[in-house]
Amino acid sequence: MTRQALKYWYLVHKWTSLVCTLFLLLLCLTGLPLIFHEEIEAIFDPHPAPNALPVDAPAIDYDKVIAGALAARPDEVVRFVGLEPDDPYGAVFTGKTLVPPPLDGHVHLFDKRSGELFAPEPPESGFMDVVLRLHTDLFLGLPGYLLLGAMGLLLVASLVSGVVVYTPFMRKLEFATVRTGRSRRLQWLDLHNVLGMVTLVWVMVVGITGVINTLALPIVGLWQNGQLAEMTAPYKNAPPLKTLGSLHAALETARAAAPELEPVFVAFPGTLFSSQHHYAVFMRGETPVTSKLLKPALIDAQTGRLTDMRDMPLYVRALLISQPLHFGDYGRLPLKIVWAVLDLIAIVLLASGVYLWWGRSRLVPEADLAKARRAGA
Amino acid sequence: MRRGLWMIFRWPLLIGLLMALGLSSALLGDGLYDLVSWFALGLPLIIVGGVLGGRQKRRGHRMPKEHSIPL
Repeated sequence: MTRQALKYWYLVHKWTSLVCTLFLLLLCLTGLPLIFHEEIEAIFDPHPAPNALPVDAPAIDYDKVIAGALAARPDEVVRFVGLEPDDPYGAVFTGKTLVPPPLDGHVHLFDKRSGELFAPEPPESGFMDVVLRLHTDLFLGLPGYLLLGAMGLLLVASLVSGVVVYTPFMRKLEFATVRTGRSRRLQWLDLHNVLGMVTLVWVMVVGITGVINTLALPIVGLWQNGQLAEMTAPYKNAPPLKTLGSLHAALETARAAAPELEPVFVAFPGTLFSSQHHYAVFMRGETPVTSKLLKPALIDAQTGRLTDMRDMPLYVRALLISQPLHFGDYGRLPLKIVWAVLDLIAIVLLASGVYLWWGRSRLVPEADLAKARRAGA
Repeated sequence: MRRGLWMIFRWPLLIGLLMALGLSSALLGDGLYDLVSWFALGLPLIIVGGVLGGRQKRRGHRMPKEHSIPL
């Protein structure tokens, strides 16, 4: 590579990193507790202890659960029902209107085996929620998501250019050499290099999947106007529903239509994830791969009949697969711990990068590069 | 000696492949697949941590000797 090209790569590394560093530091710091959000919530906001029930307890009547939730909040309507298969609790989400504001409403937990409802709670607004908003949209909504997505793209550019400028430094050095005792800056340069190389693939994957996650809202919008609109096209001109049919029957229909899948959540008619006339039952499989993907079954909310069921398009699957790869929540606690260690190393990487740039007056990086090239060439 | 690209990137490449294996394994299965993930992701961290830590320690041993050399 010519000296000129290397200089450009160095400038790319410097500027892409400098622009996104503060945001990435925020993302790393807020991401750390978010890795363990399940564990943290279990400590500070424990679910009621599940009642001991025989395994062969009769299936509960979901219509009774819905009626109970509506009786507890008579001025609200049901928007979603969560039925996470791995969780002994389900949740009914009610709100003043079918369409968000999402923070205006209540969550009604219920025991999936006994049907017992617990007192409705407003959606979370605690410490972890603040951390989550800082991590996802900086309390700015879509512009915040897209801003952080752009920072993720800069991170990818920074990583690629970082690998390129790494090369001349290593012409004479064994991998993972840290030259101590000469200058503190040289020592940090070597540490920055080795830590960057060790975490490269992880940072790249978490960065790219993070960028995909920032596109969640546009992706859902695309799906609503694409596949969902197609699936509900026959109902386009149907008169609005006056009363809702049985949710229980809809769930039975969905289960019968795809016996190998389990319902994960139900979007009620009129919400963003369904049409005006359907219960949209989102189902997923039991195998490790199918359990990451969702398949919506549309059930006529009046008759309880299945009207359509399709696999989600590729762009939604990309989003669904990106989520575990970003969160690190797909390999139990040891994987989360690895995620946390890598996150901490990333913080050291960011801080050392800033330090190297800050301390450049003592030993100009361009001069470093020139020196490295002279030594290597 | 000027090291070629292979010499420079053989360790980073091996670590990168291990990391990729670790990231995908737990996604594709449970149980043994999870175990593979933990080790494939954790091993490079432990080894590099050990190498860096070991270097620091050796330097610590050398320092007093250097000081005791009479000028």
